Amino acid sequence: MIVQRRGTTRAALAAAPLGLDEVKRTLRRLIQVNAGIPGTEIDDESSVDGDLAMDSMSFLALQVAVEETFGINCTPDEILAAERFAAIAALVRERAARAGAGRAASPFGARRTQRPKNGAPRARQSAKASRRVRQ
Amino acid sequence: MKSSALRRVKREHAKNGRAHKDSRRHARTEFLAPFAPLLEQIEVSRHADLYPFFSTDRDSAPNGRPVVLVANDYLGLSADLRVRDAAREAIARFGTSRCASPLAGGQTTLHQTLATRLAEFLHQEAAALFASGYQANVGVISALVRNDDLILTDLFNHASIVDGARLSGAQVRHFQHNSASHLERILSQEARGRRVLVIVEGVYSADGDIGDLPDICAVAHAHGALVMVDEAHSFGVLGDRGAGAAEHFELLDDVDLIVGTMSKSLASVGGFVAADQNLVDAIAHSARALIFSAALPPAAAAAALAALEILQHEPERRQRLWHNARTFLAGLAAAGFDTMHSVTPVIPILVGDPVRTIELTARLRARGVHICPAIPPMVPAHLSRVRAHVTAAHEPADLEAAVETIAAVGSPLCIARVQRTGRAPRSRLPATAPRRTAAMRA
Repeated sequence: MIVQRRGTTRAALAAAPLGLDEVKRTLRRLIQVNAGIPGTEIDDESSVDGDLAMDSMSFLALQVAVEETFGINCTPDEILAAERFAAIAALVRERAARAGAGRAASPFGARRTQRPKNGAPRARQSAKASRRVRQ
Repeated sequence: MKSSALRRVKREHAKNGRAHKDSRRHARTEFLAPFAPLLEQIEVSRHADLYPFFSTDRDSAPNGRPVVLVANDYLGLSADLRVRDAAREAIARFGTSRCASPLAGGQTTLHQTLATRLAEFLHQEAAALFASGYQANVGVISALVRNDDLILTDLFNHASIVDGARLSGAQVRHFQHNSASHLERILSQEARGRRVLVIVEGVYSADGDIGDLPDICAVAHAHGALVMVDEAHSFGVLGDRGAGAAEHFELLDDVDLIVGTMSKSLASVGGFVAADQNLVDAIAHSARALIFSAALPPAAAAAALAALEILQHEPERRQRLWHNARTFLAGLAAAGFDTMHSVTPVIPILVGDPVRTIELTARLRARGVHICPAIPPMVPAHLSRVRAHVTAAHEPADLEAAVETIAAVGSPLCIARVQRTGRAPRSRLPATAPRRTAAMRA
């Protein structure tokens, strides 16, 4: 399920700049998954000291998930400094827009979608190996 | 001049002893301030007889025959007579400790033999020994990596890896657990011709899942990065000969550094790194965790050597381990518990909050099942869990009894049921789903 939704986010990213509402929706989901805070309890004024208070491991997990889901770079300190949910969403949206623009022009763009050269034999190896473990 | 200043301070101290006492107390209070919530939790849990840590209950076994699920003694060798005898002989021959750094002659011929055998077993040119697995990770990473380098580390990597990365002073980036695609994206954007060390684990100790070495090695090598694998929980457990996750994926020749510990399958204590001769030489002569620490005691080296011998010649132990692990996993699943992503003898049971986790641990211990709680800062609060380590030494009947006890104790705490109705079943989430953050690394 999550894969599908994440795919939608990626597709949207590629097509057009993200709307703020969409960023917030995705962010709520990521916070729920990574910190166990129900999305319905998060509003624009929720702060990292208050409603969004979480332990350090949850916070790191959230930061990594935000980076991967939106395809952006942002440090834990930047998220902490943004403090309020609305500001964090704005930060993410701005970064995503920049990353999206950069991606089109980036020489790495094509490379990133390429499969590793000897992907097939490795995949087989890995499938065999996991069968061995699960049997 | 210096002595006159000292005299003045002493005179004042004598005159005003009480004020000094107060200022000392004040200094202590200042340092303890950040620990206030922790100390309160400790006091409350001790008062309620729920305190779960530093337990020595295993010594006395008060309830007849306890089932111990806290030891990482995967092959059940810590009680093996051959391993015990080897340790005893080493003490008789070399004493209890050489009381010196390895560099200064703290090692014996036993150490050398152990390092050679480990390197051979792992298909590497050489190996170096550390006094603990924690020191091995900290030492290797901080020795190899410099300020301008980049470290890419799996989000779920062990605290020792996190600490080594911090100590190195390099830029550290986390990638999503087991996600080769996230690793690839970071490498494309951040590598920029720098030296890059990618660090993963063979088996992740919090969730009990296996590192995706094939994809991660391929991506890392495509970008010219060095790959280091921590085989702490996979050595002796995975692979045809028990050489770990790298062997399991037929990648022994592809990983650049293998780090491991002797405190799990090797039934001893200590750490090691195995790699090319030059890499090992560089590390052994510059890793501060090795140079500035006393060497592994001879008895520990002898025990690990004996255990390595047994590990190689008695593969049936590994089969028994896997049989036990599957039995236990299946039993827990049938009882409705969420064992997260575990496919190995490291088996977590998701509880969902720290208080119930501690309560479950205490109630189980009272009924003779020893299991270790994992609560913040080891894992996020909402993913608090207890963690069982199944070994080859467990009797299947004991494991079945343990499952029954866990079910009996867990049901009143609504552990199995809450997970079923309250959340999406975790087993359906993809392996890369961000669900947990691991061991003590925040």
